[in-house]
Amino acid sequence: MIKIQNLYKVFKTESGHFKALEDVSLHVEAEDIYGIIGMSGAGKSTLVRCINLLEEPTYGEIVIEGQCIFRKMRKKAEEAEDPQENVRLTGSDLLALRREIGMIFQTPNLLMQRNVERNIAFPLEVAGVPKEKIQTRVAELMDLVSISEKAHNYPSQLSGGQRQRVSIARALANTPKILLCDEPTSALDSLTTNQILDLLWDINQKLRVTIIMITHEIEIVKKICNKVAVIDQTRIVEQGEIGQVLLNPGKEITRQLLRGTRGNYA
Amino acid sequence: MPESLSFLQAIADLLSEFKDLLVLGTWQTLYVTFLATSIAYVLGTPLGILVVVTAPGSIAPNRPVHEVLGGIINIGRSIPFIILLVALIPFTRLVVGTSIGPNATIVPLTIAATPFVARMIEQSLIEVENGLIEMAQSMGATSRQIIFKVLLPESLPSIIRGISITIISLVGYYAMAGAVGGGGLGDLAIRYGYYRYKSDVMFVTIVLLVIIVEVIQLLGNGAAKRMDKRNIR
Ligand SMILES: Nc1ncnc2c1ncn2[C@@H]1O[C@H](COP(=O)(O)OP(=O)(O)O)[C@@H](O)[C@H]1O
Ligand SMILES: [Mg+2]
Repeated sequence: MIKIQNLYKVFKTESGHFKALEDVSLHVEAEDIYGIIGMSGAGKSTLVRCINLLEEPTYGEIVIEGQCIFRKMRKKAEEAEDPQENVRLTGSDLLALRREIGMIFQTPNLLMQRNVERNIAFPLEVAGVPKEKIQTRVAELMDLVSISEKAHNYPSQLSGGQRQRVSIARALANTPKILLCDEPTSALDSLTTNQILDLLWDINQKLRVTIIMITHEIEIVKKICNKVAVIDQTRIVEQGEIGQVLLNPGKEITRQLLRGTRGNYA
Repeated sequence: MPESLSFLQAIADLLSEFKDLLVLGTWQTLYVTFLATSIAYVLGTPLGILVVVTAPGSIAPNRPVHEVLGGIINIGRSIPFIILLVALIPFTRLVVGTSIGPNATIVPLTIAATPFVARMIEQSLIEVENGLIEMAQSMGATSRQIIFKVLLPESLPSIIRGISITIISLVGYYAMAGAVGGGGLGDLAIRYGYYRYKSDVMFVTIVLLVIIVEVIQLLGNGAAKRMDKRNIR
């Protein structure tokens, strides 16, 4: 489904080069809920942003559903055993890729001047879906996340959990096969967090959407993920089936995360 | 007759004597400032948008374009209006056929206002949260869609407030242009109030200008507040 091979990301800043990801490899299978856990600053957001190319990787390869969306090898072509050409999606290919991957963030990022209905319609408008189809699709989506009664309300009138539900409906509008979640519950209380996690679980089960769940909280991984990768200071140090990693943590950082409770913002 | 009544009487006499001139001056002031503002927004809005989207880290980063436009805007904004008014006389003649009167004054006013408008638009657009732009990008929105579906609609209340500030500034600039025969209330104040020592005419024109400014401010803020959905609870 998603194959990430030897991914590197180096930010060029005024104070020099800054490594955010080093030699990251990850294999997500269809319908996984794949947790990526790590402390703040570990590189989680950078990694997930590489998947829809909001961030351009420095080196490595990303293949999504058999399609290579990025490839740039660290070794020069003439040194490599089997040289492959570089790939870098641009223009309409890039936009098409992004339309096929949903993404939700820590803050719901709703358009404050649009009501619930029109917020959910946004990605459909962007993709050029005809008006009549937008209406029926939006109704379906509002139903899916149980926000129909707020259709004509504005974000300022919603609770944090309701806003995040709207953002989930919006991310699913173009029926993506993949949903990237960058700490979507970090700003919510524990009850609301559980409701959102239940919703994501349902979406994974019903719609067969593959979910990548970024978090710094082990509780979230325990609750909904079937696989997990632990990322520590730019590198993935441990990954695998959830039971395996949590029962037999091989690395100190994993044990630390397991001890950590909610509110450990490191 | 009590003091206050005689004062009111004097004002009433003055109003009836200068009624036509005051009405004309008010009309010219409104006409010139609204028209100049409209043209300045037609020219300045794309300029402001371009400055925002070409900024480093924005949706279409382009340092040369960003800096050249920024430079032009700053130069435009730092030329004192009175200098612009005089320096543009040949150009104004070319465009309007004359360099005096209300229509002629629209030219320098528009040119003075355009860089001002560009900065106002820039200010409004950069208030839009980065997260919204990122969200739109993650959904595969084009730069054009981000401008027209995110940046402009989300900052509309702020843009409206900017428009009223622009009109008010132009009311002031236009009053200044009255000193060189631009028409409007400023012209009236100079010709009667200053050259003919009729300080009561001066007083009435100033009151009218203050009323115009207040009304525009109230309308602008009211409209911005009413349309801003962030205020709905
Ligand atoms: N655009 C950027 N430019 C420079 N450094 C960045 C940029 N984005 C992120 N970083 C740095 O990369 C590191 C990883 O960031 P991030 O992926 O956001 O971490 P996480 O999501 O795990 O908290 C941090 O040290 C951060 O400061
Ligand atoms: Mg992060």
